[in-house]
Amino acid sequence: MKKLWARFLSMWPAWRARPGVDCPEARKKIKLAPRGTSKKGRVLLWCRRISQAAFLFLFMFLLVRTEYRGNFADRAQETSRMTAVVGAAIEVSRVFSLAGASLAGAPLPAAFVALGDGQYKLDYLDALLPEIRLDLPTSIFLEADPLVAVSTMIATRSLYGSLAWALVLLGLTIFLGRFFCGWICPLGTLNHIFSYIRPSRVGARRIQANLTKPYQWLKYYILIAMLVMALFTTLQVGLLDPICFLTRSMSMAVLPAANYAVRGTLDALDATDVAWLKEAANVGYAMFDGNVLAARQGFFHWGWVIGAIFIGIMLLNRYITRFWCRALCPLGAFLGIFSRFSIFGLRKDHAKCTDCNLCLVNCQAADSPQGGVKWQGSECHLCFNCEAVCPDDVLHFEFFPNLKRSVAPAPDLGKRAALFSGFVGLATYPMSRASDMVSQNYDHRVIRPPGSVEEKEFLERCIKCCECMKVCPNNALHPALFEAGLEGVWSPILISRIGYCEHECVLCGSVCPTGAIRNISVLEKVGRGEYAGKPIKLGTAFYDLGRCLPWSMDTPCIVCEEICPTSPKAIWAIEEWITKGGVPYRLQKPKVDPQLCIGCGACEKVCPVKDKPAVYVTAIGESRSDDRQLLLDKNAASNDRRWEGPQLVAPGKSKLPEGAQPANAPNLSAPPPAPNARLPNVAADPKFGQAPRPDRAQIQAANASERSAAASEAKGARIDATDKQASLLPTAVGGFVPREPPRAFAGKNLWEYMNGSAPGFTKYGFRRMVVCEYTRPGNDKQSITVEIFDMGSPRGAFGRFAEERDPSYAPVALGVDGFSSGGLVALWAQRFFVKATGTEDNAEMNALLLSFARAVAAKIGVAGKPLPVFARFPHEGRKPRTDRYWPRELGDVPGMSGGFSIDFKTGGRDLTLMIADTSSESGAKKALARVANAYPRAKVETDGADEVLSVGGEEDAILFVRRKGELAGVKGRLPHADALAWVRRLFLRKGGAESPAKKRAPARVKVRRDDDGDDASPSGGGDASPYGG
Amino acid sequence: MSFFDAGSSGGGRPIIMVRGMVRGERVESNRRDFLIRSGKALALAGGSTALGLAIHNRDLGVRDTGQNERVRSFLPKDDPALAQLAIAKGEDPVALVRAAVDGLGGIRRFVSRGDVVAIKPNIGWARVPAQAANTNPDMVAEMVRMCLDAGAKRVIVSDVSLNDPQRCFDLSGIRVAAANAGAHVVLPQDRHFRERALGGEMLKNWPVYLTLTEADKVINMPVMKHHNLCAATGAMKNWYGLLGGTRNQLHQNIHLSIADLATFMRPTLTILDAYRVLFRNGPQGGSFRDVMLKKQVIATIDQVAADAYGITLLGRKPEELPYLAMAEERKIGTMHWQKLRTKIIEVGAKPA
Repeated sequence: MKKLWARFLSMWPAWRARPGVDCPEARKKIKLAPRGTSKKGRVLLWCRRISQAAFLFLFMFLLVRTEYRGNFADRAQETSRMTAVVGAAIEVSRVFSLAGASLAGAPLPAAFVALGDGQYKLDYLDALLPEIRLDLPTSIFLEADPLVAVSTMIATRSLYGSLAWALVLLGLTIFLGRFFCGWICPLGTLNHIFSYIRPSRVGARRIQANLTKPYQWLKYYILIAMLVMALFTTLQVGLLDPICFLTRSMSMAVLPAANYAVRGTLDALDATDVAWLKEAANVGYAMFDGNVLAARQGFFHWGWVIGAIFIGIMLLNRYITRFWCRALCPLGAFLGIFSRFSIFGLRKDHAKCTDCNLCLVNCQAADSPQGGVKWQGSECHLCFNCEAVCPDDVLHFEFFPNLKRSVAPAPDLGKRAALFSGFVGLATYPMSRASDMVSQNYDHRVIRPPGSVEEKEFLERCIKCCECMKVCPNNALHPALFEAGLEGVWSPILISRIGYCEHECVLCGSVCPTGAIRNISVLEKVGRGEYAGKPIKLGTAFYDLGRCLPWSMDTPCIVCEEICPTSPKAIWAIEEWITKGGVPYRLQKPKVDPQLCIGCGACEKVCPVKDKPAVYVTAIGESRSDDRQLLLDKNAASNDRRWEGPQLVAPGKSKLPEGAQPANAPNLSAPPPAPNARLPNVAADPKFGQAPRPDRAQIQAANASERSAAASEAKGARIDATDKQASLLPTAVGGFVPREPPRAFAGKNLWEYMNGSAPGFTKYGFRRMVVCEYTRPGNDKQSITVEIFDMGSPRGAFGRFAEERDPSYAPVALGVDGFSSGGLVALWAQRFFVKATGTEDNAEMNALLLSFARAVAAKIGVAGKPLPVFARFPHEGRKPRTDRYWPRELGDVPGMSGGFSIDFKTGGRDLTLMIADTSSESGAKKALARVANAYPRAKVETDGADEVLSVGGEEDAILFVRRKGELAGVKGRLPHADALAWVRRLFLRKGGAESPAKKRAPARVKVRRDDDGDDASPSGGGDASPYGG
Repeated sequence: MSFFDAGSSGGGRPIIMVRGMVRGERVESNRRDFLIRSGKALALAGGSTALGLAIHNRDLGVRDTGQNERVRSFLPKDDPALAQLAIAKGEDPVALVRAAVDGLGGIRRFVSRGDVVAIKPNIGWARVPAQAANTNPDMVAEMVRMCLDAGAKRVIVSDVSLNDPQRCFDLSGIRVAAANAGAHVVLPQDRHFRERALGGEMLKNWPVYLTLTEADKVINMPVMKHHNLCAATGAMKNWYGLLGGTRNQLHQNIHLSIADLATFMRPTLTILDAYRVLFRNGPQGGSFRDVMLKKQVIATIDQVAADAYGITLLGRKPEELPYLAMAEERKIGTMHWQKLRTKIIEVGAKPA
């Protein structure tokens, strides 16, 4: 290989170093950043450095700003225009709501278009929709790139838009030479900087490396090949044009990586709990937001390849100064050709030269600045290093130097080699086109941005600069590798899985410098106004029914339908009522209307089937292509007749009967349902503010049927006979046997069994439930469902039991307590709450349910005892079966802790007495404070040892009394003094202010079995809590 | 010279030479050097072992599943003398908001001096106000002004958009309107989300948008509109905008997830924009033809009632929304909005 390379080099005349190459003095004086020996030299150097820095900054600034960020100030005008739109739209709708009524006298808003024959069409001010564009000329560097301009001109035989800027640069180059490379080119500047950082070659080796060498002619061959390709309409300059290359590398790899790193660091700081680190993060956000930090993190397909190439190019500078500029850059070659007529150049005073070679040490372009040889003018970047460092006043840049004596003619390329490179370009075109990707086997993934021209012309225009991908707000556009064929490397494709095409966004077209993506308007893109009905389509969406949740898994979803941006939506749904787990529910199965679908990919982006989506977009049907169409008539209007645009019919000539609505028009004139107009007198209505009590029996019946059905197919874990809780289930009663093995649900998946009702159990401390459905063999209609809930504690079991119980239900002597209601028998025992539900409500079924319940109760064994706390309530006036346990917010009093309550009726008054479940004094205090906070008019007083909180005055009282750690209260309509007396009867401790002795119940009462069977035992079950359970 | 090597090597002669050592020279080690080296090795081994043990099985998928107590409640005090639901009807959206809030007793009932108030409009879609997919910007601005007038220290307006957020905030008009009114308009960033226990029946842990939940007062400002999957979206469904993560999966049990979210999040005040109502092609519309005018604003302290009333404007019944029944069962609010203390205000003023 080495030999071959040497042979290759030997084909060209050698430029030898002058004898001074090994001058030890030069070795000592070698400095990489020349200081300049003369004042003029120093000034020139600094001018160049400032220019380079400024243009690099400008380039990066414009690149970072190649994204849309909302701007408060600049949108003020937009707002006023928008307000006008809104106002007009209100006006239109108002008129519209009067359809059929008189329009007399009212001036017709401009939104109406007369169709003749007395008919008017609403135009809806579509033309006034705001368009979002960038406020800076972000692609100015690309537009000023002469190679881009000339090559697209060659390929398309026309000059697009702002590319005319390139002519300015070209003109200046003709007169001045390659000043662009040394003073402006941002990639050149980066190469310059990286050449300066720790070069591997210093001293004599560096001098040797900076001699003009034949490898520098490579860029001319590249240029020839590319221009020939352009002539044959395949544009490849973008691969190596420095502006395209840098724009692509920066926006696809460097900036996203920087964004990721900076944001990751700041987020990590922000996530700590250390205040000053958080503050540092905030300072960082403020500093970097809008310059390093993009509005959103970009993730680019093949971004790492682009980044790796960029890093490779930068690293090459370590071995050969500005290797890219010397050997690869076709723009440099192009400008070099034009600079041969330059009137500005280097004059050498050969006689004065001492061969110190300082000029060679500092030469950027290897253009032979040293004395004794001719200057390679078309290679020089005009960096002025050589003039600045020359100690002997040999080198002078000036206008009209003696060109014949000092400048070498145009590079000697060799006719054969030049011809060969032209042939390479010539062959590339038919070879890439005879490959399959462009015409025969178009890749379905090649979805071009909206407004792209037809694929063949696209390849003539796209310079692979990646501006469109940078500006895309949704990270939808990505550089292709070989998806679009050999010619389409780094051209934009839309990958909907990463991002979709924003409906009203046209930014990619507005930044495209060459018109590969046309600069379209929003109206053209979405098909409104003059483009009505002909939106730009990027492709068509398809469903993978096997992966779609509603289609193949009977699971509701249609996120795709929600996000579909067209109106009417291109995704619509077939509605079906299906039964799953015995529960009927509505399932919507999505479909695509190919005429309405614009291929934006929003559905693919949001599809919750995360890896391989159930709905995806392919390029077929894109409006730019004539042959890749899905439908026979691509311009046909949608056959969707879900609704027609409403048409206003003028009065007088109305075709509709008076007062009638146009077909399918929204019924705007119908009055809204009259809301309840009263603002009732609060004091007069005692029930006010209470939630209406739904019909209990109804809800229970509904729940019961749903649950019994759900039990047969619900997803709960199947369990076997060894399960302890399941062993409480009866095996067979009255000919009923389990239809299937029982199922169990824990707190985590309880919702799978009772969607939406689980909190009603978990709040009581629910742990686990088992459920089993019983049927008679051969009779599927009758079934009985037994549910056993482990509520964690007797109090929890009682609490849930009491919540489901209604005072009107018949009590049953089962477990600690039980009740029977139509088709339902429930009981609680120990920590279990048991329900047996039947499918029918008749005597036979109810008897069966009772025997089921009895069987479970028998298996539970010793039922336990009622909660002892209820013994503390007085006995006279108790309403039967109204004892409740509240896990929190006792008696629905906001802020109160949990507790126990019983309803009373005494002296014609309804009361609820409550004992809060507080264990400590501070807890009781806090609960009282919360209640006081919840009621603006709460009064808190101290009465002896008691703290009394009352709300609502004499007649509508909520009253709570705290005595040390005890807290009790009453709710109802009774005088303050009576309320206080009632509450004080509930305390265990004796208080300072005693109530009348005769009314006071003893702290502990003897067991007394009430008629209603819901009384309490005083001794309790020996639980830790004084209130039992 | 430490005592370990006392006497072992005389005269401090360097025995170990590392740098500049002559090849072939005999290398000797002394006890001091041996001890230092072994000490270092032991410290390294011990340190790495300790670190390994300390982080062994750390946070191994153990998460706080949370219980129902994880509620973010900003509810105001209920005052029996004041209405719980106010419906303002009239021409001028701005006047309607003010009238509706006044109907509940005025903004000072909800916002106190020095409060940080988070307003959560619906800014989900890149649509202009007339397309009625987002909350009316004038209403949001008016709400901001009212909060500031009531002495709020800082008013934050934000939402987690579905389309490109920059575009949503701009096209909806809310960025400009709210900022001009004095609000801090915040666009969501990844760092604003933290995983939180929602304590829901189905929603256990989810990334929550803290900008909206960590304020003194939270005002929900939804817009009433059609939604194909759950019939209608209004106040309770607006809390979808509180979540990050893969919230599109919530569609699989949309009613339960809405109920869970509304259980988690109890706003100070709900202002339902029913001025322009998107009655089809919801929830993003796209054409002015999908919009009808109802010219109402509903202010309420009961987010369930707001939806229950709102859906009647779309010509449907509250019973058609299962999440309302779930909310009722959980006592978040009532779907029988007629039972609330209601005030209806006709606002006569025409828009300027």
